[in-house]
Amino acid sequence: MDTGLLRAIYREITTKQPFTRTPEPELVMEAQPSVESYASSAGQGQALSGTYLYHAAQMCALIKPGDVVLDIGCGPASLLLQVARLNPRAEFVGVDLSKNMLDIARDSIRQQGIDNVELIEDDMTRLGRIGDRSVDVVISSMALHHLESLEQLESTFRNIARVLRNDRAIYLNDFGRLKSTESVDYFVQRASDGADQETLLDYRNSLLAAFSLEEFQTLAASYLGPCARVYSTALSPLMMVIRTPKRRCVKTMKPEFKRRYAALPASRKADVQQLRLFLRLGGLASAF
Amino acid sequence: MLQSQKVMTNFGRKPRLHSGVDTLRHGLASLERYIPPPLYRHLFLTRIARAPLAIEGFEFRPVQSLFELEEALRLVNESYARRGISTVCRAGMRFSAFHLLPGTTTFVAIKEQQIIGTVSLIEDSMLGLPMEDVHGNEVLLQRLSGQRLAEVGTLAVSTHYRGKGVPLMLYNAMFRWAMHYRGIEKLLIAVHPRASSFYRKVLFFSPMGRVERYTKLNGALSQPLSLGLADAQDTFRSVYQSSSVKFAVAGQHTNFFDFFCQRDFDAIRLPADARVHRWQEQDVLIHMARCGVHDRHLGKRVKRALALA
Repeated sequence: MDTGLLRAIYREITTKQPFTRTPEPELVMEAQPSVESYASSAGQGQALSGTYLYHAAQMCALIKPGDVVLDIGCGPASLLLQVARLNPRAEFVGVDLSKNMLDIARDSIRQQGIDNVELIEDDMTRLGRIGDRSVDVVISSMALHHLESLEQLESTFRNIARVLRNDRAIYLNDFGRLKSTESVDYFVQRASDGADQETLLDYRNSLLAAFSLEEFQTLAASYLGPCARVYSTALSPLMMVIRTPKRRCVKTMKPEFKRRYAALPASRKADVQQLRLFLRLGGLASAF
Repeated sequence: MLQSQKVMTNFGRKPRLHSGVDTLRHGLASLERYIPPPLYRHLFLTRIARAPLAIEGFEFRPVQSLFELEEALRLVNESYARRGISTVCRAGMRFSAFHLLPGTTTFVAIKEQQIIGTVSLIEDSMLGLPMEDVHGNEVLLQRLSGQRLAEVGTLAVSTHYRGKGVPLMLYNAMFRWAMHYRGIEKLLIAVHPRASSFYRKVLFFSPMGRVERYTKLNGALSQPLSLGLADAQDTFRSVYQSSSVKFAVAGQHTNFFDFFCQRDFDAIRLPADARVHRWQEQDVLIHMARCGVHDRHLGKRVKRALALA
């Protein structure tokens, strides 16, 4: 373990207040270069593939056959398509405000020949085109920090509660706000191998725009019901997960997840391992 | 099945209607598990050899009209209701979108223009397979391995024709259709654990996963089994061709390899080409109306699969 990590952990433990939040420069990822670089960061062996595998496995434990699953802020739908292929009997709806992202998503849906995914251009703070109590599972991955303010996050949570049916299942994951900007720089530098400048800048902006653990805890407790628990990586809340209890046994799927894990390049395997270790220390058991 | 609740275990508890009812009966059926496979095969073959097989005057073929399909579904509903895993419904048959898909072939056994037995081969489609409701993970793993899958489902035989080997002949027709016409590589089936001895020891199916409760079938236990068709042919040849027990079909001695893979039977009438039967929209609508199913009861994907837009 390098001294940088120790120093970052020390800073995270000793600093009292998180730094003030800087919202993302563009609320909707609409500009062509950022859309393309983000879309390409999710492919096999790319920057986010390890993280996506971890979260896809977690999401599978919530989705039963016949469910309607809503992905909030699906972006280029890389994670959504991965989960949709693993749950062919469930129906998936992806919501995003960026037209360019959805176009990329539509292309990959066509390429992969997936027929249980529907994409809707909609604002996640309103979810105007999703009916009340029409969804069984709400998932979201690294999208909430794109919101401008805490009020928007609150209205997003209120609408999540509105569209969910009674037997609700939720899996939201996002970055958590660290306590000092030095730690942000440290974590960005750690991810720098193999990633291009555009992705790194986006990563840094995301970490600066993240909401804090307390904000998530308060809002989840007031809107998402008693079953939703907020987990975060131990020591420093770099990654946060809001999850309800499992609804399905995925034990027999483990070999498939392990096979996919083995196919990742070494640096992405390390991502999965760190995520698994630090979230387990934070109280969330891994799905594989 | 429903009568087999043990008194002592449920003593003082509320009667449970849907779950915890179906258990493996203690008795002959559960002892079958411990019979070694060669002995089981020997006993099965001698039992088959005792009575002549249902060939004379029978006809085994895919359904050709909506009338035949509905008769088959009525037989299934009646048989399921008798076994306590379904209830008799007003239409006498349950609506099943899988049976109307172009990839599904329903076989019937006909004697004197009466349908007395049925089994269906349901190929993997955009709706998946029926058993995915309970064995989703297992089916998904099979699908990811890239083989052409099909599920064997809804076997039912009229009570008057029990013990004549009607299911064997239906399976025979279906295996040939799946292997030579449709190019299926793997057959999947979900059976009650009580019946799984037969499938595992005689037909060489292998278990895919754990025993689960089939919620739609009144909580009946169900075990997923699979059979690779190419391997099965080799296994049949090595096991049955040298077997000493022979049984007679239409006056000629035969064994299981010969029965399933080589001999042609007049009673089995498969179509000349591998084209599947595609139901007309009119037929689908008529069938839905007879089952009391309206458009709005169906999901979006089901409608798309049935081309109802």
